[in-house]
Amino acid sequence: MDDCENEYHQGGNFFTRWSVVRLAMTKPPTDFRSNIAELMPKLRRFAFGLCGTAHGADDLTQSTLERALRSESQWRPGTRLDSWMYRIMQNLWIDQTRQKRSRGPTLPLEEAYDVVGEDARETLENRDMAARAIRAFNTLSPEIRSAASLVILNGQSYREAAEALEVPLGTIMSRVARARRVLEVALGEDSRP
Amino acid sequence: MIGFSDDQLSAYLDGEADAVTAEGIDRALEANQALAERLETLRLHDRWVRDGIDESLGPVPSRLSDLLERGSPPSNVLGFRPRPLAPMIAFGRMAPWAAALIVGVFAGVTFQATRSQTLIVDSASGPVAGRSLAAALSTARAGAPLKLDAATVRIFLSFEARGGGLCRQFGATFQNVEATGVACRQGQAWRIDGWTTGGAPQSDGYRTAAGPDDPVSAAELNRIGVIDLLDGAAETAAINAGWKPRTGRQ
Repeated sequence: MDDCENEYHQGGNFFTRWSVVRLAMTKPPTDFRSNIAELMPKLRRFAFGLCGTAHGADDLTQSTLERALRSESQWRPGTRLDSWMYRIMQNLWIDQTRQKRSRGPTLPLEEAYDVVGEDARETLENRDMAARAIRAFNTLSPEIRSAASLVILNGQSYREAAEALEVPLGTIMSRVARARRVLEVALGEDSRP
Repeated sequence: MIGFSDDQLSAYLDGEADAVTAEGIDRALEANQALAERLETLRLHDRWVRDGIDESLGPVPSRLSDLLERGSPPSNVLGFRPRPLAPMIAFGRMAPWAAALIVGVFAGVTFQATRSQTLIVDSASGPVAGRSLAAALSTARAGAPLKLDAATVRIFLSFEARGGGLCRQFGATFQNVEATGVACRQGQAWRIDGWTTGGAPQSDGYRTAAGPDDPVSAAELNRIGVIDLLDGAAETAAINAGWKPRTGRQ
């Protein structure tokens, strides 16, 4: 089990799980839900940035969605929903990581790219570089990964990222730059145009 | 070095550099090829990470989208996680052909299969392709075998079904068990519309729709209704378009 898989999804909390199921079954779609649905790609990318694996990211995203649905009344309309969701996700991830003694993320190549064959040969080189980039990304500290995920992966502004992560704007700037520097060193000359 | 700090260049890439710095970098770029190349390289790295992660994540799984939709219980309720009993639970709920699939997929692994080995998973709307198979169906062209974590998948052909949806016929070999199936794109998922074990994929990689060598799959193709086979160019276009249904055709 990686950092982002939790016992909750292993079936540990049956009653809570079913309360969420009932919620999903009985409540009509709302702007709140449809707005969250629009955020799904960004939430999953941010989760991947935190977890380092696709299945871990989807588990963390699911936990985040469930927490958000249960806490809908706590969200204040007019405030940024994405920042609220990012904070929920990051807090969940921190909790899970603490519980699991903060094991570092791992990303076997086959996890990132498990479709490899003759048909994919023409894109293999790019995929290899992308896999190397992801591995380098995963070596970053969690603080740098979270900032870089919001800015580099999701295109958030520094101010938005600072608000979501509750750190100064200058911290976001230096963390994003640090992430890019690590990628540059890790990927080296192979990536020069 | 080029005269600008890493922080400044990074902020410039993000459109976050202050006006003076941005103007200085703009001016420098006109004469400094090394600076231009470095910025281009940094942009390339960003894209590799972003594209790689997006590809690794694949389509939004139904267990996430279901959570937000009315009247659609999350498909994770019965074992989207690879816990030991999950295949047995799913087995009892699925149609006979799907049950045969589960037997095929998990044969010989005594229910210790990992998630990545699960080619097909149960969902609220029926069986859908698991992550690896979905990625293959979404991105691969017909013909060559694709080696997934624990199975080899070959896509035989792609076609437009009655109603405009796009489908793919595929075969899979898992621990010497061979099977063929038909998957049709539905939203962000690949709905499995038919499946049988025991077939022997042809070595040339292509099949004709409703071929006599594969009666179950052929019957399935007839039921779905093949309107048009996709040639290589159409298949590439479909891949690039995310397998959206064709419009203006029936």
